[in-house]
Amino acid sequence: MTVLRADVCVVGSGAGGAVAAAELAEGGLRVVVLEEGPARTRADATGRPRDTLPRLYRDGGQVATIGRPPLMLPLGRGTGGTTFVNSGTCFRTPPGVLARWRDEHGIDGLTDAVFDRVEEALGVAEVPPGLAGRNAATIRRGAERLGWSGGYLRRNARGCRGSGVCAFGCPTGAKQHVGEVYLPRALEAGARIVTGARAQRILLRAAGRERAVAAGVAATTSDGPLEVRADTVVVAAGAIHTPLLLARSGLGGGSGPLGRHLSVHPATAVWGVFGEEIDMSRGVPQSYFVDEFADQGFVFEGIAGPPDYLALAAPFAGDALRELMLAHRHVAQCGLMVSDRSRGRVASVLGRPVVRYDLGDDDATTFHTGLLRLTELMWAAGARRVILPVARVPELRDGDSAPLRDLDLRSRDLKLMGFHPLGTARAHRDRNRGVVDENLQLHGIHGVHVADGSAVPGPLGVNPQITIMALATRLAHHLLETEVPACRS
Amino acid sequence: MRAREARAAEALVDAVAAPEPPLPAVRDTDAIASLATWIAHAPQPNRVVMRAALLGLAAARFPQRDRAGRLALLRRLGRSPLAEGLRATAAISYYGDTNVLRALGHTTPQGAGGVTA
Repeated sequence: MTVLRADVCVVGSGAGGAVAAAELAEGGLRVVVLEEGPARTRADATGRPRDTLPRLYRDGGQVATIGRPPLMLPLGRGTGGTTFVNSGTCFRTPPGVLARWRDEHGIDGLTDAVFDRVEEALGVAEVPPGLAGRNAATIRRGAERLGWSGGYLRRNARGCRGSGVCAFGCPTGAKQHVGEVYLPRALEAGARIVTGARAQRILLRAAGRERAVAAGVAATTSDGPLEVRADTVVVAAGAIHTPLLLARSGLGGGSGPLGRHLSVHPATAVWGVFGEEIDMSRGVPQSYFVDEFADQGFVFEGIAGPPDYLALAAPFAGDALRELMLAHRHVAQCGLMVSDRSRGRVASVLGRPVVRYDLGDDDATTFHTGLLRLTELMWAAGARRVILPVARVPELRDGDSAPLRDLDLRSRDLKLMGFHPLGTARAHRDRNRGVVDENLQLHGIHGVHVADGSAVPGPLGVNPQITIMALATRLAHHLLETEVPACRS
Repeated sequence: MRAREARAAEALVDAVAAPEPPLPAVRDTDAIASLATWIAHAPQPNRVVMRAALLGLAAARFPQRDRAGRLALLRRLGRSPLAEGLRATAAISYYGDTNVLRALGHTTPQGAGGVTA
């Protein structure tokens, strides 16, 4: 067995783990990062969705929930985690969410200084309209004609050329995912990153009567067992795998919330077919948002990609698919994301995660409203036909939304994905209501912390990567007993 | 992928993608190799189900049916995750082929790798 010694062992190298590792290593601590997947490099990002999707995503991009309806749950695997394959959209945690966390969960300290620090590291900036592409321009046109609130999204990119394949790995290295930014910083500061290392359990040692503290992590690698001995463990394996690691270690289960309270921001998309050429393979795929209905629990985010991505997503087969593909340059797409009230749970069956999630009636109603609004936007933008991911609704034509409007929509009619699993080891100051406390330390166990989407108490209504990175930054400086440094700019 | 599975896979991709000129026939693309890659990277339960589905299609004489008959059979699977999985992997496997993308008039933006003009 190989034994490594460190001050901190970080499990996972995604949005939470990479940030925590870099901050802690730069703060002078000896850090070892365990990453289950392989090291990812730009060479892995070939710009071909068909070829990269099965290779870069966990389980070939085929992680799905059980429930009504089943959702695809795309997760990254490898250094950088899901940030390697996400769209790069950056939102700060909404002020209303921060206020609720402060009042109800006891979570404080996500200050502007924390967000500034993360955003400066990632080069977060608004997408220039010229780079956003015609898909975004089409969504914007529809929103502006309706007088709806929206804008260009902020993203983590430097020198972006609009390759159009963010979600399949950036082939130019422009996307500033954490494997591009934070892991090199961690290495520079002396951290060690072990890839192909699957954490099996968290090690504890007794510290006085009835008190246990962190002692490290036991892992398996292709070279055999590995043990990292450390007094501090930061678990950042993501909202699906973190609760399973804690459960395998016999931790976090006493209070009940472990593996529960899963929210996913369920999402779907609508396609419009236009007379003009759009070519949604050009430009930043996710670059324009509409937040007019955020207070009703849904937002629109333009999302685009190359033709093979369209073939994967569009609900067609046979002649209808061929005809759509031959017209692909005239297709625009926009996503609909719901801040869900439904909650799921994660459990282990035969060592594999099983995710149960049923979309509740409230959320199904929100989808119905959102789809109607998005269809309205497509008509306003000039669409001749609108294609919906809804069973029992034919392709809409001539501005007529009646087949959708008149539908008694059921959750099982929807074709959904969930991009943002959150909450399965949620933070709460009350040990009966949270797995970790307000400082992200496991209730009752000194030295075991969680810094990923699982600690996020609930849905944000916006893409969560900046929130997760901010929480990891805050945790690192809490452990270092330092203030988060002010931003240079 | 065994020969029976490959024949069923080709018939599946042909039914879903429905190629007609100017699009190349399925046998003139690498769609079946791509579909095999998708199955290989799937989690074990999915892999088992996908391969069983292909064998089931072969047993139902799926490749011997005309395209309309094959689509009708697929429709009978309803909107199950299996049906959508078969549709989606078949669709992306064919429409992600280099020659198909060229025939669609798609070229990759400069610096993005992939299909060049």
